[in-house]
Amino acid sequence: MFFKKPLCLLLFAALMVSCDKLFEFSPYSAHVPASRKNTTQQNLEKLLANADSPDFKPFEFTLISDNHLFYDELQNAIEHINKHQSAAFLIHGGDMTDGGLIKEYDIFQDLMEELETPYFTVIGNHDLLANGQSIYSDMFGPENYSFIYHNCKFIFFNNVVWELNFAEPDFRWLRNELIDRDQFTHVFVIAHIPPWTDQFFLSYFYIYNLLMTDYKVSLSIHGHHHNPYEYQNDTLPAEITVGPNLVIGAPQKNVYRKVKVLADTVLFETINFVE
Amino acid sequence: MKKILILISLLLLLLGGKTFAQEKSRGIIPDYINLQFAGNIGALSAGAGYYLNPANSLALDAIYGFSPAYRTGKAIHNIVVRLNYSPYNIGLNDALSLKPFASFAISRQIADSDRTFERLPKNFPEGYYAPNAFRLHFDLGLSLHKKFAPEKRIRGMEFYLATTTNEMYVTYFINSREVGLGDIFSLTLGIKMILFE
Repeated sequence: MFFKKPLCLLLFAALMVSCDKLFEFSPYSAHVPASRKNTTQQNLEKLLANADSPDFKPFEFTLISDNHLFYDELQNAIEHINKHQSAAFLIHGGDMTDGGLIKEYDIFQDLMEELETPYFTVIGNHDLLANGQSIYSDMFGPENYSFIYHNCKFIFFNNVVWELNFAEPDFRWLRNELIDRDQFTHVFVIAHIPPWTDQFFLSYFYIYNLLMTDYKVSLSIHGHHHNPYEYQNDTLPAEITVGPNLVIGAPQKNVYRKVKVLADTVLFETINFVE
Repeated sequence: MKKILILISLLLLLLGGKTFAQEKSRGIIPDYINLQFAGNIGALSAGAGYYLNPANSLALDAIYGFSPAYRTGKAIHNIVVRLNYSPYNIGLNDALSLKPFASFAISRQIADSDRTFERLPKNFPEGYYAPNAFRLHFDLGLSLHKKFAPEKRIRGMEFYLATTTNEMYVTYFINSREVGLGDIFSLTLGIKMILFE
């Protein structure tokens, strides 16, 4: 009994001095400090500063998604990308958090800082939980946005339905972004929910795919499912021809993707980062 | 939400009933009231508690905590039930003593227009999400106890300092080699006014 008392005090003192954030008011806090704001804009500035011309020239980008709480796996993927890839940037397909909590966003951002290239995110259904939506917009920026890199357009689209009270995704915005399609060598759309699955009503699926087909989107990129796969569907009506659809896959499955953008085609490959 | 409030009031009544049997004039007046700063249950929280055993080493608190929007982006309310355990009493002199303690608490946090739920809403398939409205908190702390003269209405005061974490933060610690103990623990300060001992 006697020796336990000093032990208690010692343990207490050790915990006391090691606290990083001195006082915390709530795990559900939506307060994003200024130093962590506008990540998307900062990444875009970094990317465009390195782009030597606006004309098309072949390049590569990497894809990861759905890390949830698999932080070590995410870190392994980042380290592998740093070591083995020469991509221009990385796209995250959403669900960077599990419960939309500020601490999860913080850990994600900390780990992504290790990545040597700029990165861009799309919001996932898990990221909307608790106060996640407000944290996302403060920390990253708008949920729907686009940028142009070497004459290719990248469109990030929030298509989450259930967590947003079944509201229709902003297809009008997406169509407006696609209207100038002909000016670009390639157009990519990144949206978390694969349109052929659970959250999407059939009508939304039709609208989405009509947009992809009408505007000849080169690749429609999704997260949500943790196994990587490509989607083909021959059960749809003839007027809807599903273009190339890619589900990225989660670091939990030890995979990330690499996309090679060439003038006439887009090649993608799955990379297993555990040898 | 309503159910928790009912449960807490029942608990208070029960405990109150117990003490009422001992001291006629007491009613449901708690053994102590406390005020706390931070600790992941609000910027400021206030609560009342009862000792559960004659040695006063076990105690149960009911707490309401609040964090204004300028602190946490959105105003957040908390309802907390906390069990405290302080097995040792290290006497410094006749009136002062140090008491290390450990606490376990469950909180329900409510933010403006948030997406937290106690039970999965009906429009989701079963098991789509685990309920995310509750957090389990673990505290380790040290309190400085000052005993007042027996004739005083207030029996004593306690000042405490604790480190706190919760079950989600522990998961982060386990799942990431980058997340250290310092990332998952934060500090809390509080005072307790002891009415009955």
